[in-house]
Amino acid sequence: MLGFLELIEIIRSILLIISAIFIVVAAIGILRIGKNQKNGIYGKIQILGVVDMAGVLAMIALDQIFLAAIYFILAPVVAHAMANTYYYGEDKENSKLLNKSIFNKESKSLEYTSNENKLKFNEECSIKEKYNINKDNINKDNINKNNINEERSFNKNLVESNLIGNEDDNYTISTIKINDNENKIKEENSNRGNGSLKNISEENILGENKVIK
Amino acid sequence: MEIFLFSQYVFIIALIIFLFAAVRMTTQGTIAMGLIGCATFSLSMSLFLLTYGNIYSIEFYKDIALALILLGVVGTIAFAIALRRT
Repeated sequence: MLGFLELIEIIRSILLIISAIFIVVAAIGILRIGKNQKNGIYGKIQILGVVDMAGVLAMIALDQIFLAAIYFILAPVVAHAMANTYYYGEDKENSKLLNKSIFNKESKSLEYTSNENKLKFNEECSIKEKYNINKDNINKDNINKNNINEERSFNKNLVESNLIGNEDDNYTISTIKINDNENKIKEENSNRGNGSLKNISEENILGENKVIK
Repeated sequence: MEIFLFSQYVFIIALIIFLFAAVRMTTQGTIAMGLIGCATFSLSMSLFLLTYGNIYSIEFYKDIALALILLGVVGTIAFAIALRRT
């Protein structure tokens, strides 16, 4: 008949062996995922989640309950941080910031904006549709820094500017600007500081422009 | 009891295999893979120290393992934030 302590030892041994099996399987799985496989790094991060939990099991088996509790909480945070780093730093397949085609496609539908800002954007659009102004009517040379009356930032990648140029009785309003990175926004802001908007390329101007008499 | 010692050795062998996989991941080239590999390496190293210290009754190995786990997590998150900002 097994005593209580011997039973505990057997349970700890079984936990350790189960952890060992999971760790070996995870190691094989990580090595099997190829370098060029699509979304392979996210798969590797998920496999590392298995290793994390196997490690927690092993810590419990080795009587390190405090360490196991800490790592049980921290492991998902680490996995999220790693995936986040890859997504914003190197993932050109999926990241909207690194892949311009995805960004342009989705920025038009304004998936980045919150509902509140989306509502504002829709209101602006409805006003523009009402005036039905041709984009060719805008004269960017007439717009200088004194005519910027409003600038809103949805997030670091999306800036909406309302620029009003005044020539005789014609007011020219150029609205939405969507930029793909922070540096470009800074560059444009410095251009505005010099009183010139000539350096802003047409492709960065999305939305309509209108002339009001 | 012998079975517990045996299971500890099995666990150490599994950890050594996983350490090789972690080194392979670290050396794959990209920054994110290096980060993942390092985080994995620190975890498996701390588990290795825990097990080894348990076999030979070396108490300060547990402190080293605790420091490795905590600082590894902090370093990973800090690097993730820094990389995202750049």
